[in-house]
Amino acid sequence: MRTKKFLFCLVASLLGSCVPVVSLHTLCDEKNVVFDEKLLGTWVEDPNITWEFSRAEEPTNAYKLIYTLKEKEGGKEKVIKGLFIVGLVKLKDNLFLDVCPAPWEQQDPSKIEWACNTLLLIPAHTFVKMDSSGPQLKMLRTDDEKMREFLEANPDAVKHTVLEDKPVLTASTNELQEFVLKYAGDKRVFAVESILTRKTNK
Amino acid sequence: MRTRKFLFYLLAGLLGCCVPSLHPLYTDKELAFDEKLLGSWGESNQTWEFKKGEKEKSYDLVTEEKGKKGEFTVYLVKIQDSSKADKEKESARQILLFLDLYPKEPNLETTDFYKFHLLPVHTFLKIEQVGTTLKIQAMNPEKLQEMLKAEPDLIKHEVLEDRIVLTASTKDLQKFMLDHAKDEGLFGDPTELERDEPKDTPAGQSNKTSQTK
Repeated sequence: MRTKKFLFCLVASLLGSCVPVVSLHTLCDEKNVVFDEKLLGTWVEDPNITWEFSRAEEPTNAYKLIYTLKEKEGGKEKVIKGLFIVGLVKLKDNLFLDVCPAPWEQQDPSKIEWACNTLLLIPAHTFVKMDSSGPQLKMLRTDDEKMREFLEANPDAVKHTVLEDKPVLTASTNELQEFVLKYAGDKRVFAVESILTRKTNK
Repeated sequence: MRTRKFLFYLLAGLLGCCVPSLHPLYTDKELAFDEKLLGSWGESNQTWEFKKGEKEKSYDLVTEEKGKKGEFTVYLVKIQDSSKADKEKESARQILLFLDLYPKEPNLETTDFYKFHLLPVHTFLKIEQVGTTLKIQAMNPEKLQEMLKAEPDLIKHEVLEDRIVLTASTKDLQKFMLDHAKDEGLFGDPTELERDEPKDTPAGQSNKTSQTK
């Protein structure tokens, strides 16, 4: 019997959504983190999803990201948010985002019903390749299904382990940087494209 | 940029200082179920309530500590040195009992995109006794760190913000436990929980652990 773990992405998998590949370690180090003011502001992924970047209080060379989703529940519109700390990493001429959930103490504790469960939840990192900025932000994201296939064919490409058929990257920051740089243009690794448009005040 | 520390270090208590593992300590073969674990256990400021879980041989555990609740899926894991099992007498076999705790999905009011970034992990508590009291020990991260400093390849792991996360496979975790669980200080001082509401025990049944079903 395999234990059926819930890995929170299961629902999304069933719905066919893109589930990003998580990493234990960050892609950021002091040498390669940059801050670009042009990323600040609100970007629209689709009419129901926005990404709002502002400067983080700590560390100040990072961004605070509020990811907002509007959805209908019982005929009413519901707005739910997720708070992240994002690092912009420049490796040669490539830009990547390192996305990690903001610390629990920055979240609204009243909304965490089972606080002790969080003791056994590790905040993981995901990576996004940035292809262009300006009025549009082209993002290339990882997808766990595609990455699993890729890692099955190339098991030594990056240090990882597999949990419930889902790859979890365990490589160090340096190894991750080498990996994303080597496969920056590879659709097996950065498989899903999204184009965000800057929200303008009407 | 350094990742900010999380609640792990803020909450006191047994789980607050545990060593997490990406992989479980069990396969089907090592699962046991002991009715004596069922019910409510507690000490001064914490309560642990075990109920039969939906899946075979699983328990649902609800903990409460200073008003903070937790909900976990738990398995009772019985591991023994199989290489010696056939050769040695029952009494000489090394048999270890653990609880493998895994968090249930907390009811977070947030987006799936946020939830994708939360990686649930296992932690292991060594059982010393299930009887009138439940005596359990959590792994001591400082002692493990000391052991890994001396022998980095002792068990596969990663270090996140000074916190050790075990990345070893189930098989390697079991071997590590058989080889080192009894090393002095690896499992810290036992926490002893008393039964809150004594369960009726069939006459003649001792408090000795553990009845595998």
